[in-house]
Amino acid sequence: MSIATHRQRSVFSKNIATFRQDPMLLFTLLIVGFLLVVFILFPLFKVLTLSVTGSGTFSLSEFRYIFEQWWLRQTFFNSMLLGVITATTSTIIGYIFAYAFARTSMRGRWFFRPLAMLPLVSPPFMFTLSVILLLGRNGLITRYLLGLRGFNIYGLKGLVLVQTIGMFPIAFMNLEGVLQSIGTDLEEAALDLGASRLAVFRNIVLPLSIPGITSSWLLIFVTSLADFANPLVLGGRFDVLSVQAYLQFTGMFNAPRGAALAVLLLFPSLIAFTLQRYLISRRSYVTVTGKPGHMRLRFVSRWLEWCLFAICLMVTGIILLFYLTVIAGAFVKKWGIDWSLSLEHWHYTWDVAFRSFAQTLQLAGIATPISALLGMLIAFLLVRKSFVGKSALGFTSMLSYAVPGTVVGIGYILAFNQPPLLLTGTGLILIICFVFRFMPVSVETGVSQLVQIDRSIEEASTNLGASTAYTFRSITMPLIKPAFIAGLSFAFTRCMTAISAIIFLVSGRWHHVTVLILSQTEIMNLGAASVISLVLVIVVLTGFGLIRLAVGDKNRRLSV
Amino acid sequence: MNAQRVELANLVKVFDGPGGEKVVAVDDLSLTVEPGEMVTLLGPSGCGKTTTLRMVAGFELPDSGQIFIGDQEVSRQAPNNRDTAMVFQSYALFPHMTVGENVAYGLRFRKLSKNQMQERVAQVMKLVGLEGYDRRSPNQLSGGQQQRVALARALVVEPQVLLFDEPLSNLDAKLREQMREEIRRVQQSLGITSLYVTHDQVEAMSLSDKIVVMNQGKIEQVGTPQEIYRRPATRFVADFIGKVNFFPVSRWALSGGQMDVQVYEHRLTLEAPETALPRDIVVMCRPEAIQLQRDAGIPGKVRKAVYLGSAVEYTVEMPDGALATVVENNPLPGGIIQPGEEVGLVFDGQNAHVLPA
Repeated sequence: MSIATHRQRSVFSKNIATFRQDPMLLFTLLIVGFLLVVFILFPLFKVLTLSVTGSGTFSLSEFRYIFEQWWLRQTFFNSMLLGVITATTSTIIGYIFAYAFARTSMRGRWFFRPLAMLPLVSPPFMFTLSVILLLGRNGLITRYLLGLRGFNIYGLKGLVLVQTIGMFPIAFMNLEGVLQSIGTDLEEAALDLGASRLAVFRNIVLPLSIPGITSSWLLIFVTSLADFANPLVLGGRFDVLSVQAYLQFTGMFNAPRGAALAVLLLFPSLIAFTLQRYLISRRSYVTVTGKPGHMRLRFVSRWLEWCLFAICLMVTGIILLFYLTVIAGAFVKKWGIDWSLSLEHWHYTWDVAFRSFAQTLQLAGIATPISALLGMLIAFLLVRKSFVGKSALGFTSMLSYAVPGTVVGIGYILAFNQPPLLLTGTGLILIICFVFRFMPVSVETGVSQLVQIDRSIEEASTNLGASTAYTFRSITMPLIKPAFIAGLSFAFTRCMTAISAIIFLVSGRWHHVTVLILSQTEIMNLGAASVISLVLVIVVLTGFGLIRLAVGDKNRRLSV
Repeated sequence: MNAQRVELANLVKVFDGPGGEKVVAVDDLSLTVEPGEMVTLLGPSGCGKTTTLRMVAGFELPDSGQIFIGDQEVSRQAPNNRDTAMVFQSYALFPHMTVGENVAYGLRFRKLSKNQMQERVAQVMKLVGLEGYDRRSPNQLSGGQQQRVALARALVVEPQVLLFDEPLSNLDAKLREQMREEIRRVQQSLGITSLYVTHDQVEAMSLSDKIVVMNQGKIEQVGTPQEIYRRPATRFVADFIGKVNFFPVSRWALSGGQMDVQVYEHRLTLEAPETALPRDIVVMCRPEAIQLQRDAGIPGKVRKAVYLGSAVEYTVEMPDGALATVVENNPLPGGIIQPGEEVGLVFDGQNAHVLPA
C-alpha cells in the first residue's frame, strides 16, 4: 500500500501549487484514493493472483484444467449463452416499452410503469420462486391446470424467463431516456420531406437509438453474467460460472479453481462494461439538435399502438402474476398438496427470520448513507476539481458496476482474512462491501447532476469566504439532493436484496435475509421463502418513503 | 419552379391547456399568400403564428377551416404527402447523417435517378454557398452553416411552399443579418411561395413582401412593411412594431379628405383614414418623426436625455404628465438638450396618424 501512495504523492508534486492553495483537497484525495485501492482494487488483485498461483508458483494450470474438462468448459459457454439471450430479449422488450412510452399516446401508462419498475426493487430470485410455484414439478399451471408430468422448467428456458422479466426494466429506463432525447423535430423534418412513418423510424429513430440499444444490451449482459441466485436455484443441470465458482470455492474448498472461474467471469464483464462506458461517452451527439417538445403528432398507426399495448399488457401481466403467486404462496398451507389458507408460514418466518431482518436492516442502515455520501464526494471531485489521476479515480469508482458479486465475495474473503485487515466474520466487512459495491450509482447520478449546475454558483460561495468543505456542505449538497436521493434509494435497495457477494461474507454472528430466502428455497420451504420475499419488498418500498422523508423532497429546487 | 397560391380559410385550432381548459391558439384565421410571395407571420409568443405554420405543414390538424395549396385542399393530408418543406428553428439536422445525406434525404422519396439526385444536391449546395461540405458532419459546422444546410435540405425538394419557423433565432446578431439577406436572395431568385414565422419585427420588415401581424390567435393587420409601420391599423400593431407615442385627442372633426384634431390645445391637420373612426381616438407618431423646438409646438419638459451615438433619445413630460419619446438622429456635440429644459414638440401631419383609442 505504501508504495502506491508514495507514487501518487510524487505525481501530485507536479501540481503542488493547487494543493498548497487547497490542502483539504489533497487530504480528501489521499483518503478516497486509499479506500478505493484497498476495498476495490486489492480484492480483485488477490483473486487474480490466486487464480495463477494456486499450485504455489505462477502457472495457468487452473485455466488449462477448466478448458480441458468438458463440464467446466461448458459453464463458461453457458454463462455467455445465457447472457447473450437474456440481453437480447430484455433489450427488445425494453425498447418496445420505451418506444410505447416516449413516442405514442398509449393508454394505461399509470398501470404499466409502476409494474414494469417493480422488478428493480424485488429480491434477487423472487421470480424464480414464482416460476417454481407456477411451472415447477408441483407447479400450479404445469401440474394442476395442464396436468403435465414431465415438464421441466429448470435450465436455460426458465433462466431466460426470470432474467428477462427481472432485467428488461434496465433497458426500458435507459432507452426511454434515449428516445426522449431524440428531438421530435427530427421526425417532423423527415415527414415534412416526404418520408413515410416507417421510413422515419428506419432512417431516423432506429439509427439514433443504436448507441442506447447497444449500451443497454451490454449492461444487461453484465447483469446476467453476474446473476447468482437465479441460476443456483433454477439452473438445474445448466451450470454457469457464478454458481460453479461459488461451489468450487466454498463447497469443494478448491480456492484456486474458484478464483480461476471468477476470473473467467470477470473478464467478459469488464470488456462489456468498458465498451458500454465508451458508448455512453460518445452518445452526446444524439442530443445535439432538436428540442424534446411535446409530442402532438402521431408517429405510429392505431394498429401498431394496439400491438405495443398488447405486449406491454402481456409483460406487466406476467410480473403481476408472479407477484400474486408469491402472495398466494405465503398464505397457502402446503403448495400443491393442501391449498387451504393459513398463517403457518408467517409464524414460522417470525421465529426464523426476525434476527436476520433486524441485522440486515442494521447493516443497510449504516452502509446506505455512507455509500451515497462517498458517491457524492467522488462526483464532486470528478466534476469540480482538477488533479492528476482523475480518470483513474473515475474508472475505479465505477469499477464495482462491472465486477460480478461472486468475484467480489471471493476477493473479500481472500483479502481480509488475515491481519492487519482481519475482517471476515464481522459486520464491518458486510458494511464495507455494501458501501463500495453500491456507490457507482451515486457517483454517476451525482456527476450528471453536477455538470448541470453552473460552476459560478460555487465560485460565488468561495468568493464570499467559504472554504471548499463548507461550500460542498452548504451549496453543492443541497443542489444535488435529487442525485443524493437516487443514490440513497439505489444503495438501500441493493443492500437489502444483495446476495452474490454477501453469501461469501455472512457468518454465524452476522446474517443476511436474502441468504435465508435462498436456504429456505433450497430445502423447498417455498411458503417461508414467499413470506420473507414479500416482507422484503415491503421493507424496501417503505425505505424509499423514509429516505424521501428524511432528506426532504418537498422543497424542490428550481432551475437546477 | 411552379409557384402556388396558399390559402387559409377560417382556420381554428384549440388546444387543451395544462389545467384541462381550452386554449384557442388560432381563431378563425383567413389569409392568402400570392404565388411567389414572402409573407411573414409576426407577433408575440403565444399569438398562434407557429401553430398556423404547423397547420400548413401538416404537423397540426385544424379543428375547423381549410388549407389550400394551389387548387388542392390539403387540410387533412399527412405531412409527408404535402408539398411543403420547413426550415426549423432548431434546424433539426439529422445528426447521424453527413451534410450531403441530410440535403439529399427528401429526394429519397421522389422518383429520381442517382445522377439527378447528385445534380440537384450539388445545385442547391452551390446556391446556399456550401460547396465542398458534403462529407462533413452537421456537428462540425457553425450555427450559420447548419442554418444553410437546413435551408438547402428544404430547397432541394423544390416544394410548392417553403416554411420558416423562426429560423434565425439561434444565431448571433451579425450572422442573423447576413442569413436574412441570404434567405431573401434565395427565395426571390427561386420565386417560391414562402411563409415565415418570427417575433422579430426587424426581421419581418427586411424580409417580407407582406407582413401579417397576429395577436391572440387573430390577425390584427396585413400589409406591406411600410403600411404596417406608417399606417398601423390598431394600437397593438403600432406598439409591437418599433417605438411609438400615442397622444390624446380632445376634439376632432372631419372636413373633406382631411381631419382636424386637437392635441394638448394644439390643432393639427391630418389625412383622414379610409375606415370609420370611433368617438375616442388617439394620434400616433413615431419618435424619430418629432422635432424638438424652443418656442413652437406642443409644450413639454425634458426629463431624460440618453446619448446613443447615432441618436439621442429624449423622454419628455407632456402637460398631462404622460411621457413621450423623441429621437433626434445625428445629434451635434453641444446640441443636446439638458433635462429640465422646456421644449416644444413639432411634427408634420404626414407623419402622424389617428387610431381608435
